Amino acid sequence: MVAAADGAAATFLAVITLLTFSDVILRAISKTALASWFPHDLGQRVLDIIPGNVPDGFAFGKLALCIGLFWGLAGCCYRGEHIEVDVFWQMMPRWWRRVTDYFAVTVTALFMFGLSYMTFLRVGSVRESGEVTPDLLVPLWPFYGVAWFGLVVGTLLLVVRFRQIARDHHPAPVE
Amino acid sequence: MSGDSIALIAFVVLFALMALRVPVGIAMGAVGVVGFAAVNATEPARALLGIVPLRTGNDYDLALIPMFILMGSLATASGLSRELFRASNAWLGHLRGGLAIATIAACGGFAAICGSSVATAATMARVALPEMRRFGYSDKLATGVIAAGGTLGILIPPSIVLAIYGFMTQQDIGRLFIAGIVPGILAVLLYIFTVSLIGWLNPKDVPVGEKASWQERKRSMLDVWGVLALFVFIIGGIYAGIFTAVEAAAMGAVGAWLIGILRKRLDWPSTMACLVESLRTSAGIFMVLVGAFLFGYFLAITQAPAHFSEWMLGLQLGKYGTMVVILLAYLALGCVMDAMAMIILTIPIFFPIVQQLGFDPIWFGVVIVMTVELGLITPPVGMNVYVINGVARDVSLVTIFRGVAPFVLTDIVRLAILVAFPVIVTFLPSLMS
Repeated sequence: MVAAADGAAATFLAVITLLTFSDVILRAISKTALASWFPHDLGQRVLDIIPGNVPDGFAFGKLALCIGLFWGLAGCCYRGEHIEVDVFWQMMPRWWRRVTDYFAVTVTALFMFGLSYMTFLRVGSVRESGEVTPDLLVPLWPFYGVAWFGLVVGTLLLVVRFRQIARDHHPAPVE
Repeated sequence: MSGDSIALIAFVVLFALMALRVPVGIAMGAVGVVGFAAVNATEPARALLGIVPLRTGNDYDLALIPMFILMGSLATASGLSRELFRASNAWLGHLRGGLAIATIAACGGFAAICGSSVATAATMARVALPEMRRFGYSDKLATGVIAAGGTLGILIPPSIVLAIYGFMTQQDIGRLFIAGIVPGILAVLLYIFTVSLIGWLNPKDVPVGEKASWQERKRSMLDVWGVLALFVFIIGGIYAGIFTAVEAAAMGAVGAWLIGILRKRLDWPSTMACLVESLRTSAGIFMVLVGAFLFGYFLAITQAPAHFSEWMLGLQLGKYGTMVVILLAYLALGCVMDAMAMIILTIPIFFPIVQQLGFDPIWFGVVIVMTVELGLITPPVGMNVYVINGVARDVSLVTIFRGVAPFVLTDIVRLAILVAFPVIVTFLPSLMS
């Protein structure tokens, strides 16, 4: 499950990077090259016809970022790769470390559960409001739904992590 | 109970949770939501939990963080660190302490592609440490140089921490990046000066390297010119206003990938691994940002930051006296907290004070980033030191901390220079259109 979460998150990062890159390139071509290749009037008419950027590129980029981050969070939860203050934990004896780990994972899981639940309600309200992307009028809620599912996966993976701490097995961070 | 008391209790609970290893973002978010419910009402607090993460995740400016991390990750996977070290050594290795100087120059070059100090230290430790040991450098100096050189990653653009500062304070991230250039170069030069000084005081500890031929020097540049040109292209593009910081990040990531592919250093699995690593690091940062916004809403309704600001200004320490107190607070916090978490947690409190005192927000961003970078090489946390200790298990933490001590002094001198002469930071951004 964690590999799927990682793969999904990584794909969305690739999507937003390529969308932003394409946007810059398309803008550069349309604004600079066409204007210089064609006579002034024709160049202006060509510029009016072709879009200056990828239609809804900005909106899809934002949505891809949101999905990628929420799914990336799932991998973070599983491997315990959140930003933490370790200095006191390192000074603790082994038994206390384990108790602290249980506590930290429990608090994280409760927060993630609350986050998932409230995000679910938010996705519902976005669906009811009928929000769409500005150019292509694509509904937003399915994208938010995919992002929300990343939070659910993250919460479930925290349960797996809890069991792993009980077995004294910590998944190694990816090199 | 007054808002200030509730805020104070919230901070105590927050630090207790963080000490118990609850992730920083989760601790801030949980305390923020519970605190908001306590001060206001449960329903709006719950609503915040639904709104803030989606809104933060949808903020396009945030996209530059994963993309700049991706650029660094792809450059690292392409073997840039080794090539930068080889090139620096070819040009500077013949000086006294040449390998150490080359390490600092390579760290500076690597920082220009990778915005993370820890990543810079970890990567350069694997590349430069074995070489310095082979040529008879003391463990103290060799590890100290790498730990200090690693801190350049946080300052020289593209800096992830500077980007987060810009994101939180609504400052132009492009201007912040440009503002980091001269202080970054100053840092490299002062570190090189420090190595030379150590070499002058203890010539036996700091050997002279072999002089490379011009052919070797030219060949070494062939390996690094692509990525260095990419850096000039993206930072130049931001400076000239050709593209925004987010667009620069995308150009950088795709450019680094293309260079890696053309040089046959990257394939599909390694690209995928870089994407996964970058996204996961970004997700950790995202969680802290979400927590910070939730905590920020709570603090705002308690009005504690405004009261704290009034109290600080009421002490009448003067403009620079107050700044010194703020910087000392950052130094103290840096002893126990991660640099990024520290900035995210404290910005809502200190930034209004800094604005009221009339300091330039861009200058303040660079100065606090430099202050928190000291926390990366000072005990007890000193993340860079731990990272190097992880690579060189046979070198004790005490030895590394002793090795880094002269560079800590250098950093303090640099900080004093930038506080005394803010124009060093603000000059380049002021020229931007």
